Amino acid sequence: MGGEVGRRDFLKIAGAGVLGLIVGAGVGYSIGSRGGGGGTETVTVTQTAGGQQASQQAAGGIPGKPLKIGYMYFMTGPFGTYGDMASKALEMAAEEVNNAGGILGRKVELISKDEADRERVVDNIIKMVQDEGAEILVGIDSSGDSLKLIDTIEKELQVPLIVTHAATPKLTECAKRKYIFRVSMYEEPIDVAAAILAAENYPDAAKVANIGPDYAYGWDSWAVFSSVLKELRPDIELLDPVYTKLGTTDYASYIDEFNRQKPDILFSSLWGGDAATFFKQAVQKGLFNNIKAYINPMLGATDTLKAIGDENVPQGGADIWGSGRYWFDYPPPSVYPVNKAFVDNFKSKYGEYPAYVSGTSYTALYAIKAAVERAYAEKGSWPDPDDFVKAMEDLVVAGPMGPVYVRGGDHQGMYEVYWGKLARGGGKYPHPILSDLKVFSPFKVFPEPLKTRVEC
Amino acid sequence: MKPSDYWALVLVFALLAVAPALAGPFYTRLLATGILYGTAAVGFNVLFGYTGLLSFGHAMFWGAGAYTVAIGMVKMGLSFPASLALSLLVVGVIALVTGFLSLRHTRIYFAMLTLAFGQLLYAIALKWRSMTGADEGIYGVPRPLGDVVLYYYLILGVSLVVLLALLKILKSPLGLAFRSIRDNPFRAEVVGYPVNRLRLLSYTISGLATGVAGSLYAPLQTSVNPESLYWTFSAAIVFMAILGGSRVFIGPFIGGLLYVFIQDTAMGATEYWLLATGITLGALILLLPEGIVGYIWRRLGGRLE
Amino acid sequence: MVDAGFLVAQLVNALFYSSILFMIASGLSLIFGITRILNLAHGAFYMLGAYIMYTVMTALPGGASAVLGILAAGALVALIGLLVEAGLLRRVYGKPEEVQLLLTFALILVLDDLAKMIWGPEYKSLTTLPWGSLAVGDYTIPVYHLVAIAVALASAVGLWLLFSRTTLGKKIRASASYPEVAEALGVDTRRMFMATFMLGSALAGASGALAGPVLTAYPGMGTEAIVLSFAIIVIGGMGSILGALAGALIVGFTRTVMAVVYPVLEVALIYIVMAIVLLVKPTGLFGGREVERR
Repeated sequence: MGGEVGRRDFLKIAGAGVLGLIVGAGVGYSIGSRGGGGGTETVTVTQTAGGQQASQQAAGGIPGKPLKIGYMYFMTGPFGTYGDMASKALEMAAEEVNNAGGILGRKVELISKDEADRERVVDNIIKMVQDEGAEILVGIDSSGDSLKLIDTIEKELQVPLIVTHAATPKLTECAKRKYIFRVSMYEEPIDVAAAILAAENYPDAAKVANIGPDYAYGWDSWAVFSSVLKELRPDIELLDPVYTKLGTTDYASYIDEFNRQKPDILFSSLWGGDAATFFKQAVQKGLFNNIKAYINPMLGATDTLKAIGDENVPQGGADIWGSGRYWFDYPPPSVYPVNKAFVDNFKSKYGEYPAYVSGTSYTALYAIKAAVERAYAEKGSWPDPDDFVKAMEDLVVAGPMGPVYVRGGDHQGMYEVYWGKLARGGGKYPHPILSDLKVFSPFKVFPEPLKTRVEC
Repeated sequence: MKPSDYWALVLVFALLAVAPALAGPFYTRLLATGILYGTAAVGFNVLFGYTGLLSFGHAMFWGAGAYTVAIGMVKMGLSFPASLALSLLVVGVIALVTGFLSLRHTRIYFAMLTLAFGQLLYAIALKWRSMTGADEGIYGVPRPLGDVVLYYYLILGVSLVVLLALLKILKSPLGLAFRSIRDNPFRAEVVGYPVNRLRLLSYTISGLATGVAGSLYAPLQTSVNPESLYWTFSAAIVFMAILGGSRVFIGPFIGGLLYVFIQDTAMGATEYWLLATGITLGALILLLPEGIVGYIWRRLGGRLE
Repeated sequence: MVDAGFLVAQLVNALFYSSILFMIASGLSLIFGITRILNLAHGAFYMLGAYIMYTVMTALPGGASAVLGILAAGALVALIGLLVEAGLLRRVYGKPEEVQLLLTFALILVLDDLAKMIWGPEYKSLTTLPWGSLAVGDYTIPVYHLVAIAVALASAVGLWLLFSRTTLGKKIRASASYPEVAEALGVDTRRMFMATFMLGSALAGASGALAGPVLTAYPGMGTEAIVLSFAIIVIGGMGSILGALAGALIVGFTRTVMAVVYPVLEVALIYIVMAIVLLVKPTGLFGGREVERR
């Protein structure tokens, strides 16, 4: 299927909200189609679910060997669950693509390395390309790793890297990279949306506190959230931010300090096990009875929600808001077939709901497919890395999280930001969920390309 | 012919000099890392194998060297040689200060003090954002000579110089003094050696050698991260020395090379590579405490320290 | 703005945290004091305790299962300790410390991966706390915390009684200080070492179990714990139970106070205290008069 859609159409789509458009347009799989428009304004929208897409048959200029895609995530250690959930989705996407004839007839073959080997992240990326023949790279969980790979990718390897998790603004917003793209959401738009959410929902809030991890991600998140909130609500009081060491296991003393200060809003960029530990201890110590809202940009990760457990979701008390890079219930599968197919297939294949990293890694593979096909349509042969880069720019891919527009200006994927309230899964889901989703248009919360509030 | 330290060194470096012609760019790079790990481990072994002091904090010299070169080249705009000189100065000062404090104790207390100082440096690297980039580290470190293979030969040359210098020191009367402290510090004191000052000297030489290796590592990777200072890397350096054998000069060097390749293979082969590494390490310690090179050396009729 | 409820709540926080630390550090210190082995894998034993608690409490929720979980964790980890002692560490008694340190370091890698094989890589959340909570003004004090403090206190008293009042305790001490004399008097020093190792491991397991329902279990959670326990026994004096108690209280209270007053120094201060103690009194606050062999 697949089709062409003007970039302006995408802007309209994203501006109006995916949901409205899809329902309104009444189309099934493709988001909309318009004949050839021509020129740079035309982008490809590729339908990403299922295997109905008929690929072009192998023709001249297409290598006969399989296309090797190398990915790197944390496969072991305390963050191993990220790699597990991301690689499952990648495997599934590769299987779908291969069942439908591959990419321009080339089968996709995945190879991988473990990001948990901290000393060898750079070496292993190079190994996949130089020794094992990867033509395109996907992955990277840690922001620090993504930054230290910049020179390796841009100067040494000159091979495309599609980042699907690392979220530091510095990766895409401090300088325009040539071979590096990111199809996953980064920190800043989520934090901007959080500030808008806080200002709109709690107009009477007087005091805001922060607890976050003691490193760049925690510092930057609070810097963005607090500065935007201060613009919207100049009178609000910002308490001294608290930062805790990654892997802190005892938050009781911080929590009782919050119990004493009673901020109206507590912003927290704690994530993973730390987020779960803090949350459970906050419940045990009655914190949510003393504040109005708890806002955590990383709460919508299924591993964190599993660790929190239904029994720890407080009934009454503060509103608890969570976000993430993709939520399996949005856009609602009932009206957005791409997400429905993804979630259904994932569940039946692996017996669990996809995590947000599953959604973004799945999107990466279809972005690669779309870009290769787009470049082929233009040139008539398999794209070299430079052609591929050109085809990735201003591409729109329909991922499980809705259409993702890969901006040409900064190689950053743009899509909607959501915030939802924590609720019990109540037997229907195996873990707590986000409900009452509030969705923010990317044009409201994304800064212009290469403009970030974070210091470069 | 019995094996000798000099001939072993010449043989190994001759092999390493022709290796890039046979290995592809990736394995050349891996060898470069191995050479630096090996040089760091030989530096560590000056203190451990020759002076009898176990440091569990050598990552602090490796990391301090790497950070200083990165800061010199990226933040201060210095040339590579100037950054390297600065790095030696910084590592030397750190070694003198931490050595002065830690060497008031020996044995397990010394090991724990070095570990604590290493962790303190790690904590500083994580907090001092304007200088160290905190957890993100420093990236975009330019590589002298650009190309990996050319840089490989720079690494090889510098490492050879460092190892020859260390070997010369260890064969000199100073080296004999280190050994006599290792074998019996009380007797060394009675004989008239200034034991504490000699230990500090050994500690500083050891730290500088490891620091040079770390300094060359930052441009190879084009980045430096706090992990380079974390205590598990100190443990890795100890592992390399034991793997090769701490009782032969070249042992830890080979240990560093082997470590890189074992890790590379184990990771590719199994998801449970930690388990594999742990079992290898455990078996080695119980079954082959003299290390791989130590074993071969002894079979060839060489003398162990 | 500082009211009594706040002080009470923070006092309980500090005591609870110190209790967990005491349980794990006293086991580490005990083993070192008797067998001269600094077991780096002690933190991994603590992790296993937390996982066992998780398994027991998810299988049968409720207050009784918490008690059962703590007992099971203590017993099972003691058993694992027995296997490790008899199978591995017995070979390296009296060997150079790098051999002992690296062997137990290797054990961390193995146990972390085994935990991952058994329980999976993800964070294991333990269910809610049994026994409810007390309200003090705006502050909530879980009864579980008070129980944990009581358990730690009972362990401290039990250890003290064991070593000062019982024949077994005296035999263990004699095996460490005067092995030849002890052997001559018919004490099986090997069995004493084994008993010590099992007891120390049981303390780590029980400590993990106590921490479990409040904290979160994951492979590698022991690494953090072991580095802190290190600091505690260095501050208190290696091999001293009283020292472990003092060290745990110092670290527990330092963290709680700094968390409120000046979080930037929270972690660094513990290392600074440790370095100062080592420089001033190398054997720690309550360390014996053991002469360092140079």
